[in-house]
Amino acid sequence: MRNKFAEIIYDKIKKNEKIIILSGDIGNNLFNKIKKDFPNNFLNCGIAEQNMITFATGLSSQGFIPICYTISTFLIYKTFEQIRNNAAYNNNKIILVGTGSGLSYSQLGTTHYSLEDIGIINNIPFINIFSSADSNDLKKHIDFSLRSKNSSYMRIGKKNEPIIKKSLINRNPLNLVSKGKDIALICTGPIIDVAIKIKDSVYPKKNISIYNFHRLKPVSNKQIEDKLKKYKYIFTLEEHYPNTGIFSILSNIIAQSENKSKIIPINNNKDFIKFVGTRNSVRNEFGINVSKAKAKIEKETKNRNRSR
Amino acid sequence: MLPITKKLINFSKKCRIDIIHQSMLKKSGHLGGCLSAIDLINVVYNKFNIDNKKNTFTLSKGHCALALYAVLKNKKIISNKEFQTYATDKTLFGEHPSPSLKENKINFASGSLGHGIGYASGVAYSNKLKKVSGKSFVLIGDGELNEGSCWESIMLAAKLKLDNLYVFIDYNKWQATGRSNQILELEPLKEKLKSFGWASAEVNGHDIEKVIKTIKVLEKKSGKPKIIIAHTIKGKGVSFMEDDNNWHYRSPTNLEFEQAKIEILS
Repeated sequence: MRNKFAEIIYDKIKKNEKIIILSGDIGNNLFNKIKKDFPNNFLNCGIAEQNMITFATGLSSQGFIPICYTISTFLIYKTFEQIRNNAAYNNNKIILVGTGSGLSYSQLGTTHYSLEDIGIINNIPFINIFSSADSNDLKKHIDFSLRSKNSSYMRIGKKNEPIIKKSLINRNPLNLVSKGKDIALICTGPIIDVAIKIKDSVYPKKNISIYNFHRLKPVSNKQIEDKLKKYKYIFTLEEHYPNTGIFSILSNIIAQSENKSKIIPINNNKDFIKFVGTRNSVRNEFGINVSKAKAKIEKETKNRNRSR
Repeated sequence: MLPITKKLINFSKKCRIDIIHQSMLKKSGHLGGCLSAIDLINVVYNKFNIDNKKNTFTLSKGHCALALYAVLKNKKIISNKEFQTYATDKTLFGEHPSPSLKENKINFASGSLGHGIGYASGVAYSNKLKKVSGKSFVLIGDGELNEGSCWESIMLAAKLKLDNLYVFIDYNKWQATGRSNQILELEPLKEKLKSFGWASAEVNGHDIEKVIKTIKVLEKKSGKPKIIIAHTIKGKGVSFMEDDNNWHYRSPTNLEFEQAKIEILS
């Protein structure tokens, strides 16, 4: 996804010289083409994320469109106050692009897992949150971010995420990936591959709709309610702590609606992940791999059917 | 004494009285720091046309907003009526600047320390990219240099050779709970900043003529961001407030205001 990001931004800079990429000393070779052809549109701000954000807001105040790029954890966790005060409160539009989001850096450990970033940014007024499942989403999210008058946080992956969903996103925050009946499985980011495997392995598979929740903020309650009211069960699947991630966002909306569906997080993890490994093994630790998710869905739907 | 110096000294006197008066009326704190910073804000506003378009001023130590409002009022950038709303209900003129005052009134809503240099660096770099000649001024506190983010900004500005960036340190030797040199190791400040690639100079921050001269000397140094270590006195101008950190917190009584006014005007 990050290579695609660099490609798209190159084209955007070609058309708009006000766009400036600021990097927190990552993306080795990723931006070579921009550096070569548009040297004024790239700046390595060093391993100094707080200043990168604040510096970007100064550029923004003078009419530039700064895009701050680094690993999600460093981009969001070190800089909450800079984003809140200098971008949002001072109304200086910047675009935050966090790479390696969720569990992308599965072998690098908890310091590199962004499992709280959605919740952190969701607290701040006037910042869009986009979560790209694949490069097609990413392209649209860049357009949305550039067009919006507010700052945006784009939560993107690392590399080689497959394009497995056919449907393209639009302005609705929920993008239907696969149609079903009683159960909605809602996920965000590249974990869509797990969702599809779950659907293929749960019986009867025609029962499950899969949604790609790609724009997490702003969301209108109505847009969500209209799509979800027909489901008996709503499951959320995310590389994020559910208590501040998409489970929380959707629960909030459903709690205020007439909707009687049950919403259940696939993972109810509140602990740090103790082991590193392949993405699949770390997803397993976190309770969001195919077998655990399948077991959870089957257990919850069986229990509730019996109790009715 | 040059006529401009005389004019600016009188300007500071007016501002000091306004600041102490408002602090008395609204029982607001941070008076000591406002009085240490006022001469510097005065020089910047009166020597350079701060329209926050070409030349910008960023108040990084946001708790001295009252000093900035006093300058804006006496420069007629805001009305007296607006100034009098300071710290009243529903005012935009709070103890820290509001983003709703942006455009020509203020450049940046601050209040948390350690943000101003980075923001003003972004403004200065914009001017470089646009090839325009505006200057970006910032006022920070000495205690503010405790914030690591300041040093991130200091390193980037030097790398970018932002010689259109002017940082003033209101070096009043105090921070919230004690002497700034005892709370963290600040000195040798001038050498420290020089070694970080900045053009640095020291000056008595209440000697308006010398502050102006120091800026002039630094203006000639190209290729480096500039930093003026302005030695100041917290509570400057009023004998019973000077160098007494209690005035970081308390506000004057009516009687104390009257005494202060007599001292300032004498």
